[in-house]
Amino acid sequence: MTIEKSRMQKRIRGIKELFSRAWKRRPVFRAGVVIALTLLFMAILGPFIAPYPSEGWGIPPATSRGAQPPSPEHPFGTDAAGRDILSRILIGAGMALFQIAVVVSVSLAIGLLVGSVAAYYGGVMEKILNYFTETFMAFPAIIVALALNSLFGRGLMVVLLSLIITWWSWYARIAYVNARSTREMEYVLLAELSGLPRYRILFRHILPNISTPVIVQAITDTGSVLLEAASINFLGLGLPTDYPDWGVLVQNGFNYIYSYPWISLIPGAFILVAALGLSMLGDSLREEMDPRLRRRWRLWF
Amino acid sequence: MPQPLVKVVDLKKYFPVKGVFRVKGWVRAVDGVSFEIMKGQTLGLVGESGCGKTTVGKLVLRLLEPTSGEVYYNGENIYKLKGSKLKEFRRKAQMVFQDPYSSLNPRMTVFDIIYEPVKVYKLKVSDPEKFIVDLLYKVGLNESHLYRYPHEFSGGQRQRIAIARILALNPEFIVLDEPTSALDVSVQAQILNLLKDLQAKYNLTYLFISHDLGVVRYMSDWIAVMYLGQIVEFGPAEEVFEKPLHPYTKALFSAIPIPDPELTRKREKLKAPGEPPSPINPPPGCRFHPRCPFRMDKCSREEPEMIMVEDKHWVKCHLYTKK
Repeated sequence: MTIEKSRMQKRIRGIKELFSRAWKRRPVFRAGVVIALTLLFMAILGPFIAPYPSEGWGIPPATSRGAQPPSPEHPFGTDAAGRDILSRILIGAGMALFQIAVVVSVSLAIGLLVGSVAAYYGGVMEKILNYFTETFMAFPAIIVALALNSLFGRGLMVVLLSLIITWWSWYARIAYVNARSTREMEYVLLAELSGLPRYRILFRHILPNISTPVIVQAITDTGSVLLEAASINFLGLGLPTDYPDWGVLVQNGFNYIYSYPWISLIPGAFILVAALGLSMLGDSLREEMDPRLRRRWRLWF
Repeated sequence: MPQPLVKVVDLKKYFPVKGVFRVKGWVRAVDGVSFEIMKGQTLGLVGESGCGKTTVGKLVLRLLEPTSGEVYYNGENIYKLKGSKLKEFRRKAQMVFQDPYSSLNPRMTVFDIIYEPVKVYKLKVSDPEKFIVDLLYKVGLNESHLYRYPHEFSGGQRQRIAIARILALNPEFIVLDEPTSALDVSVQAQILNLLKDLQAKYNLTYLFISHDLGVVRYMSDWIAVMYLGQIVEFGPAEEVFEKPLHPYTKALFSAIPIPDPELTRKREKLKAPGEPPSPINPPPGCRFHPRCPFRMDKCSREEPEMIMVEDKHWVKCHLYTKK
């Protein structure tokens, strides 16, 4: 029993320690970190290092140069309206990161709160919140985006809202499961006994002890959020046509895929590498958190 | 005659067994328990697993609401306390749990763990750090442990931290729910001695719950033996150990291992064959009768009453008559 306990104790340690351990032991994690950091630098420095910033934001050049293949002047070529694709991608990196950050952090906040409140308060509250969570799990993001699009038209809100609506419930479920077992811990009973108000117990004793697995899941999800957001934008449900978003960029070139393939393929490659890198980061963290996952992974090879 | 600090009268706690549509039955976890504890003394509550010991401990602290019965603390019914009086009771009556691994929040430092109740009760502490270091010294730890996390401690040290947390509130009455059963023997002795020292120093009153008879004998002034939700024997510790009356107590005590094979062979052994019956449908009459080697016809029909057989020594058995 004692050995089992001490292992549990090891597993629920903080996110910082998890990061440093994964960095030491996992090349996949390091690769993921490098890609994520590159993305971050692109997002921050993009508007400053982009060779043609105004074209990056979607304004066509004064004298139209048409679609040009990659050249020293335009390393990734230009699109049908003659805009420099490198600039568009650099500006678009910020857009991508912004969408990921908003969707994941809002979903995480809602999920953590709903899940832990359901688990800790129990009773009717637990039932209602769990029904809600399960209902929202059933919606696919693209269907919700379609509905929101027909209500409000195209826009950033459609992308963000449709993803948040379909995403938070997964975090709520993970938070709920973990909070259910934390609720039974005697330190929670002791805190109740000493008269600490319930909401304080929630924030002091429950949330810190359940946040690690949920945050790791959120990090893993950043790659999928990027993909989902890109597909909503690609389908023309989200951001408008001239917006510097990677999904929109792929869509812009889609009509010319045979004549000018670089217009779609280069932004597409960026989406692919970024999503892959973020997933690698999250997956290796999760394996580090739960050693049983690690063993299963090895079996595949 | 001095007032008892804790007086329990006919306490009952039934848990519902829920079926799909209706309550199928009741688990009679505690079924008519009465006892008293004097200030500064220790009552040892013994019995096998599942007989309701922990439930009694939780009822006495009002961690559970009883089905019926009363608990008086300093003459006041604790189930009727409200507001500031309830808060005061919650401060004075504390509990140490069996599992030192789940009673400390792994994400808080020792300082935060011990200081939390002090903050909740708004006790006046001029120098929190010194206050907590003093407490740590009282339980045999020191200032180097102040800002560490629970996973850096052994089981015994964690139990010391749990005790320090309680001492911060200056309690009068502590329910010790198997405080040493998760620890190995040498550490058990340290914790038990610590508890005894603290009792002598601060005039604490203990309700000591355990299935370890040796430990109970060492700690207790009084013993209550529980079987299937009821107390079957109650008396001064030494007397109950020297002269057990109830057949269940005798069977229980003859299971204590003696580290001497000669004595083990010679001593009178009493067996209680079988398993304790389910508390959902306890047997009629005396609850021990299906396993009792001395059972009579009467035992399966009439429930025996708790009678005083010797001076201050009660037993619930048809074999004895009132003195």
